[in-house]
Amino acid sequence: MKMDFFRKRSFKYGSYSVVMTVVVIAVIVMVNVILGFSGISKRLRFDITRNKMFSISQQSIDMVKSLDRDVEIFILSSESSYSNIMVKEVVNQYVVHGNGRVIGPRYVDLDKDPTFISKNFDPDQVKGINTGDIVVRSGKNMRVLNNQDFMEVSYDYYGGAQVTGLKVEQAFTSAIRSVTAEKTATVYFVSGHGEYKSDELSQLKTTLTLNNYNVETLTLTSPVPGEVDVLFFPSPTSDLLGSELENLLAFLERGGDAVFLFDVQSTIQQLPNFNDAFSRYSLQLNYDLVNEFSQANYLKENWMIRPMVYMTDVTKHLNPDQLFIYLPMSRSIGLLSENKQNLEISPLFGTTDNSTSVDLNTGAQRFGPFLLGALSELEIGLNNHSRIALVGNCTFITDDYISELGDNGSRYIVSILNWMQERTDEVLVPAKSLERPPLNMTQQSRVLVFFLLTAVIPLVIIGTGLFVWIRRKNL
Amino acid sequence: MLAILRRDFRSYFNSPIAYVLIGLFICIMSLFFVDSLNAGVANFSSNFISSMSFMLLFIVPILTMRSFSEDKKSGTEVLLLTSPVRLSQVVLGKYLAATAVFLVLTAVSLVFPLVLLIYGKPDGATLFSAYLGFILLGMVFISVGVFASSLTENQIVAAIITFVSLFTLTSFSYIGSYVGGLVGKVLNWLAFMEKYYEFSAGIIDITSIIFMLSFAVVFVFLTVRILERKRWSQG
Repeated sequence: MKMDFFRKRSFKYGSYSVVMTVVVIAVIVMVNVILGFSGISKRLRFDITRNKMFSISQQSIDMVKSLDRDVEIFILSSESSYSNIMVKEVVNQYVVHGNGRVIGPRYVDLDKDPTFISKNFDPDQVKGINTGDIVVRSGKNMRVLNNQDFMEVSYDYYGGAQVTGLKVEQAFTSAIRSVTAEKTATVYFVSGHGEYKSDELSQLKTTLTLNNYNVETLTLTSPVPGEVDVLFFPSPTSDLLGSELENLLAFLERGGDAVFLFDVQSTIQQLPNFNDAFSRYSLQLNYDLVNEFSQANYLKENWMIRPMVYMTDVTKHLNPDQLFIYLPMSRSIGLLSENKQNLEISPLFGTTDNSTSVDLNTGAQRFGPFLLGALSELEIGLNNHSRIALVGNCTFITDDYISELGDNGSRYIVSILNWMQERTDEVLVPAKSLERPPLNMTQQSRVLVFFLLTAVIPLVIIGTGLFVWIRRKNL
Repeated sequence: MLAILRRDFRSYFNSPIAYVLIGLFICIMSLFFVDSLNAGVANFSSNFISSMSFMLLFIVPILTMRSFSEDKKSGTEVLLLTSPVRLSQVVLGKYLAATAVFLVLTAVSLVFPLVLLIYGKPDGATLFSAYLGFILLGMVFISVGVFASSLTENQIVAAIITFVSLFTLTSFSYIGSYVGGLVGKVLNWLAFMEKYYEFSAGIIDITSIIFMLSFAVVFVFLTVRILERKRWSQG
């Protein structure tokens, strides 16, 4: 009886059919699994968007190809719930071009492994790493990125925020450079002279961190430590003490660099010690307020100056036409006539001929053009130099200003620091613009398109169908 | 195979079904499209992109419900099964006929990028990629619909099976994120909608193209097996 069943034609066909089905499906699944889960799949993806939204620049490719140590990328989210397609694609590009040095992305679901952060990144849980953050790690160095780091935000006249660009590549390239760097330069924000407080410059500090600078604070009451690379003075309003001047000069004389930003003072207080330091670089801080009258170079008020940007080592990587800044209430910078052979001065920002300044001490008026910012480099012995930047405005890098008029100023500061640190190969990756192609439609053409698409075309198609059907029915 | 393709394709256009489907598709999609024009951008909005795929959940079951069910009901199925034509050619002919109707529908929908082209400068490559994703998604869905149609002689049942299957398929990424583990990974791997959204963003992934075509091949093959079983079970 049993033997009859096995000899039956239906059993033969049935078993043949089942085996064949299983084999065919298994082969197809295998092919797809091999393609999908191997490294090949990452190389078979092509970004065909017009502005290469999901691709990284040649600079980043070169940087990642030259890595000599492993970099791991952790995305602190389950793979299925992480939806930032641009981050996924950009990380993919680093992995593809990283010659095996860039490992990841490794998705970590913190709901399933809640102790992962404390075990791997932050035993004391003080770094504020959260779900959705991305950790870039190389050895003991790590950098945490979050969605804020990926967005370029611009603000309209009324203070409304709008995401205008994506800087995913910028953030990852910077993070990879930072965690693989032999040494990360540290910028020390000096306090003790009425400078802007730390929480008034938080956006600038974030930008500096994103560009591989550590940010610390310092007072000049004791000698400047050897590990300090750059001193940053965010608009001191009172002068240096004698001992502080000595400490500053000692730092500069051993090749230290410094950035000085000064707003227009509300009190008529002279800053002779600061000017003493500047005089060594043939620069001088004036006690005035500059007004611009050339219509293309101010915004609404004559004191809201859009400065002319001079081509220097600082600005040659930037595009001043797009990276325009406004300097609200600026003071001018003077050049001392003293001619020093070991000194090189470059103008950074300036006004047009059609500008004036009012001396806050005497009320005397002078006529432009004026310098609003300058760079000075002093040779100190063989292969050593000290560089300073002096700008007659600091408001343009404060959080309040940035929230109203954008953070282009931070890019100039980063570029100044890169010049000081001689980061000649620095990758200045521009943000990917989110500007989308506009549609030039009048209200009339909008109505026309609406009727054409929702009524005329569908009715013509359905009408044709009915005509064909009725005609065939009556044949 | 070509004869079957031609016969089925003509039958779609000899009845009002293809016209009504295309007309309704264009009409409904136009509402989403015109709404997206308000953004003043010469590109498909994400809302429009997801609406296109959502519409397929309704279009495909109606398009494919009669592929085999009609033959079963009218009794021509026996003729097909006993004809000298290979079953794979029969299935492929019917599948390609439904796909051809879908391609006609897709071609008519090119009126949307045409409007963008007239009034702006859209990113042509991204639009091409979005349409490639849409066509691949349609091909996958149609293969499921043809398979469902081979299971029953009732067109309504075939349409319901197709709709439920497609709805489940499109929910894989959601289900996968809840389930997690190996099952979650497999479901995410099978998530067509994620692949479709990648295409619509302007990313062309060769492995996704192979995957979607493979999926369609598997369902066409399964349909052949179903008919094969009927052929030998009927003697």
